[in-house]
Amino acid sequence: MKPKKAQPDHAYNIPRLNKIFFWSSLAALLSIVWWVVDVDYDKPWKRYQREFRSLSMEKVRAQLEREQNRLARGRRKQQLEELHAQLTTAQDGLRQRRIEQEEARARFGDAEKRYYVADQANRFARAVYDAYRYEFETLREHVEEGHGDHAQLEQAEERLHELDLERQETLVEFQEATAERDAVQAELAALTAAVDEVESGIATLEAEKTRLEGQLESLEGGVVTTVRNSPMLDFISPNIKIQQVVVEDLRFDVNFQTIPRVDRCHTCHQGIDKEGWEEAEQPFRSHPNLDLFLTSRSPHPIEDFGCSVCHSGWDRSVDFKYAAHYPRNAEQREEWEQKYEWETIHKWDHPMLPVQYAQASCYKCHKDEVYLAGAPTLNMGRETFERVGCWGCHKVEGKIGPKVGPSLRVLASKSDRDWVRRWVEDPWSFRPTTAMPRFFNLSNTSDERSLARNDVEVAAITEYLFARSERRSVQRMPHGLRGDALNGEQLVNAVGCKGCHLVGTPEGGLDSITTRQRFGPNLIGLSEKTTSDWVYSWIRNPKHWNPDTRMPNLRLSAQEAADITTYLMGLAPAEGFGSEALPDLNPQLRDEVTLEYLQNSMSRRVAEETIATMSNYDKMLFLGEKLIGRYGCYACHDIPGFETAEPIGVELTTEGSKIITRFDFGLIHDVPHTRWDWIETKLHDPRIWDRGKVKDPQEKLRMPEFNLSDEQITAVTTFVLSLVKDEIPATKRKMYDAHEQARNEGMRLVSNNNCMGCHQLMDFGGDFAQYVEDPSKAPPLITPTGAKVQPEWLIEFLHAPTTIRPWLEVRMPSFHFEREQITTLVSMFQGISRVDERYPFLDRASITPASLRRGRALFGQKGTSNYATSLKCNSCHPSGNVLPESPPTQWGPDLNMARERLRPEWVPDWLRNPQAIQPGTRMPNFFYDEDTPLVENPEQDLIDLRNFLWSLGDSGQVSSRR
Amino acid sequence: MLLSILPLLLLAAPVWAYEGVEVENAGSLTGRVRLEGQPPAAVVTEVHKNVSVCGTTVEDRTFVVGEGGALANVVVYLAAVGVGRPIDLEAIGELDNRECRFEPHVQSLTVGQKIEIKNSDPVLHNTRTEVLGGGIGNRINLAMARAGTTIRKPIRYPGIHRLRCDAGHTWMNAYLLVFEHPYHVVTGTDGTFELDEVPPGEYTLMTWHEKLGTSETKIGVKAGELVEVPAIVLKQSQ
Repeated sequence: MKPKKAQPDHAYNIPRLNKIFFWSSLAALLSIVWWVVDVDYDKPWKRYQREFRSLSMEKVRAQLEREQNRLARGRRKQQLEELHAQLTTAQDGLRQRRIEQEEARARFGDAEKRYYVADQANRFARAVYDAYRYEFETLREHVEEGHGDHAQLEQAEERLHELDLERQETLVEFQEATAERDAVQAELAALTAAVDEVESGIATLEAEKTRLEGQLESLEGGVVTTVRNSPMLDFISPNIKIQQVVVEDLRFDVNFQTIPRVDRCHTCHQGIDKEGWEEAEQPFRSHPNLDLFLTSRSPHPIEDFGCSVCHSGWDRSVDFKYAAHYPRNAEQREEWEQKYEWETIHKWDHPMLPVQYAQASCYKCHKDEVYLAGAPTLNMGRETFERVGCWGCHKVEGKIGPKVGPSLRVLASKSDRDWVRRWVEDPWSFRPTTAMPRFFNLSNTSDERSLARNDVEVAAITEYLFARSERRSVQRMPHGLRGDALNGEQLVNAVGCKGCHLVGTPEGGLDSITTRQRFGPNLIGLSEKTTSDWVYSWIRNPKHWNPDTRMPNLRLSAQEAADITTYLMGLAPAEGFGSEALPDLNPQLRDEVTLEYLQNSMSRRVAEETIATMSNYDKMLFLGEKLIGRYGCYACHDIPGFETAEPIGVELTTEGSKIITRFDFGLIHDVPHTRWDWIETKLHDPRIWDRGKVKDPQEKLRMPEFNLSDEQITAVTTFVLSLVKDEIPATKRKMYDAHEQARNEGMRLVSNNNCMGCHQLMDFGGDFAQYVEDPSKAPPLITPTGAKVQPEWLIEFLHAPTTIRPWLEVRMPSFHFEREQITTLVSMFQGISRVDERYPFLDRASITPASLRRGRALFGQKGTSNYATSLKCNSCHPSGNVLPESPPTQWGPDLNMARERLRPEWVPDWLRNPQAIQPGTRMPNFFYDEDTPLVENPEQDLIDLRNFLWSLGDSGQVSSRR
Repeated sequence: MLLSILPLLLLAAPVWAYEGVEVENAGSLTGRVRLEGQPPAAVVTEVHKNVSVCGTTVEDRTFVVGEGGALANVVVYLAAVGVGRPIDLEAIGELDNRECRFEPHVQSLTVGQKIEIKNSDPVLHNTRTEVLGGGIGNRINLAMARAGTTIRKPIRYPGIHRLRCDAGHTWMNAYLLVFEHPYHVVTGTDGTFELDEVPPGEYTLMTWHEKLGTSETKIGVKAGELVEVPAIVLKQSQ
């Protein structure tokens, strides 16, 4: 046996060590490979891009197939066949002239050689000349300064001249060579002209196919693309890579500093800015509104705005979870948790807005637009917020206006005590659709003791309201006037009450109507609430009872008012109202509560002394006042004694930016900690955060519960989320010009007075139209008003409306606008129409007698000889003192008004195509059918007719001819 | 009202536009529409305008019933046809304003065809159409002030067009049904109808009447055959 080899130099076993080294380096190598291929290379976003690419290929292939089919069928097939036949003929023709062509080609080769040589020679000569010219210039300067040799300068000048000659010679040669080459080329082209023409015809027909083929080829890529995208090499120039938009001026506030947004969303959302992916699965689906967002044609291109300024989220992340996606509901949350291991990202303060609230971001830049196109949820939220009076308690910068509830100064003239008690305690049992919220018997005040206390509170509030309100005498319905309920119903349906009021439950349920249609109270149950005399007196003159009311005056006659009163008094309240007897007041509890409130401002001993001196009535009044102060009733109602009281709620001006830790979720653990979940939960149950807490009655939450649908709650939440302090720089904010400012300002008035409950204005409102069967009977679209009527006339009309459209049953009410409001509205209309000439006029001296004569003949007067060929305008329009034959409900507007009312340039505009301006109008097209003229000389007719209209109103101009 | 809007969904719904091809092995359909029971008495309107032209009274023509209950002015059509015979783009529908009535009272056309509107009266008429359930706008509103005026108007919007005249002739009404395919026809006074060049297949045969709304019948068309559709009996609702 051989002795074991000694290893004197090493204290350890080298082969073993080699093995260890071998295995560990192999492990290291494998881990690197694993790291490179799996961890680093295989990112979800890359998978998405690959998937999107293959989906795109499928799509292009399908398009290509369709295109090929299209080419292989019908007219196109025939065209292609013809072209190919022509091509063959042309090619045959060319073949016969082959020798000629080859000879020409040979000449072309020679000519091109000559051209290149000449071109090069010319360039060189120019370069040499330029270089030498510089040398010569330097030398001359040198010599002129007295340093150099004049002889040398002369020599140089000579050389320069030589070089110049050379340059010009080569230029001539170059020009000749070019001309020769072009000539031969033209010769060649003439030979192949027939073939080229046919080929280009084929190319035109197949252009789409060729485009698709090219697209497919670039998508398919090939070996090079595969190598570019392979692990380790993909840092050089991959075509699967992170996409990003850096928006320098829209910044994220990361506390103590701001950073630009770097939006990488479209790294995965590959189809987001492309059309054709509307039906695709996420993350590839197209944005639902590409006309408004992301595309270059939209006002918000992706390069300028990115994504996160509207949607929030962690802009830089390309990982589902870390992008701070946020689910829209519990269902989606569950789905995401399973699919993406989704969870809330705590270290990022701006989670993505769930899609239902996305419109909240619009107000960052468009706050002044009262109705914002493309943001229906936000508009609804704002409308609801204003309608139910949230801003009465919660200050929001810029929100002011008349209080939303009725004035309670004349309550005693209107209702009785029992009704008020029932109403205050539970308004919904009387009118399920009322905007009045519930204050009592809510989740934190429904225990036995609270219920008893609520009775005392309600009674005290009622007592105070009656004690302090005025008992004014009511204008009685005239003696002998009998109302007809049937006629009353018809009037309520027709004259316009329903522009603002519901009567009972609408056919399609509450979801079928807009906030504007519930602007005023539902008109059911009036007989329980008040007297018929009061209703009569109120509808005849609402301002008499409340100078600040938004109820306008419909100028009802005594009979009409009586009919409506009779009808309304016959409508029952919601079922079950008033069926339970009102509880007796618990005097002990009353005293307890009074003592409790007294102690807010004095010691217990003094309070006890004070209460001993108070009568029961005093106690109730004291308590009523305190409670009205506690609940903030005066935020919506004008209540004597509270004229200067401050709002009781939290200011909401920047609520959407409030950090989440400042929202009190109380002891509730199943509500996710987000702003929107807090607001939604609060709106569903405003007292919920008291759950599980021990609180004194006065410590309890006091926000009332509003009767809002889920949709409205989401809309209000969206609106509250829109109230942020984000500062958007002027480069990105919507900047309003003077017209737009006038529009925005007026729209506030329009919204406050609910004009759009009846009228359509721009793309909004016009809800009343759903109540008329014939669209021509809907209140007119008022968008074009500024372009249509003269400002002075509009001022008069808004001040005291008169009948313009005799066929309408619906009436323009008198709003009794103030001076300033009227000018605001007139400016708004002019702003909407972008009218620059504010005071238009027609110089009547410039109207020629001939034009007037032609206009009169066109207009037509019955009995005249040319009536048969006229346009017979009198068939419908009163003018001069001629009235149409039919009843007034079938007339058009009185044209005697035209000169005073209409802008002169408007008349031809209107007559060219009335349908385009006022969809649904009865006024037919006389002059054009869209763009096709219907008469010989339409433009002249239009001017003549307008000129004639301007002569109407001159003391019976029309009839004087009779 | 609702009844008459319903078929709109069927008229306007096809996702793919109609494709006209040469139909091979086409079949045909024929049948007859009847009204069950006695028609209600026609409403008579008193005229107060242009009496010399319009007469003193007009009778409405909602129910034109012939022998054995044969019902005229019913539009019979196939629902949602995607491919079939080419649309005859040269065909022109006529609509006359004569003695203050629209003539015919009901007609059907295909998108792309034209309608020629004519005024035979020496008074002003206008023809205004709205598509039921199709929003507030008028699709046509043309004035014809002079006797003998004719205007040709291309038909672009499918659906049920209700026609009116606003020149004080409140009684004037008519219907124009516009389809995207050519398989539609209006029954004559004998209540019969015929649809030709139908590609073989299974269809839903629909009828529309201005008061009675729609009815539907499943029908199969075989190559080269003439299918006799069993008599379609329309009931008047209470």
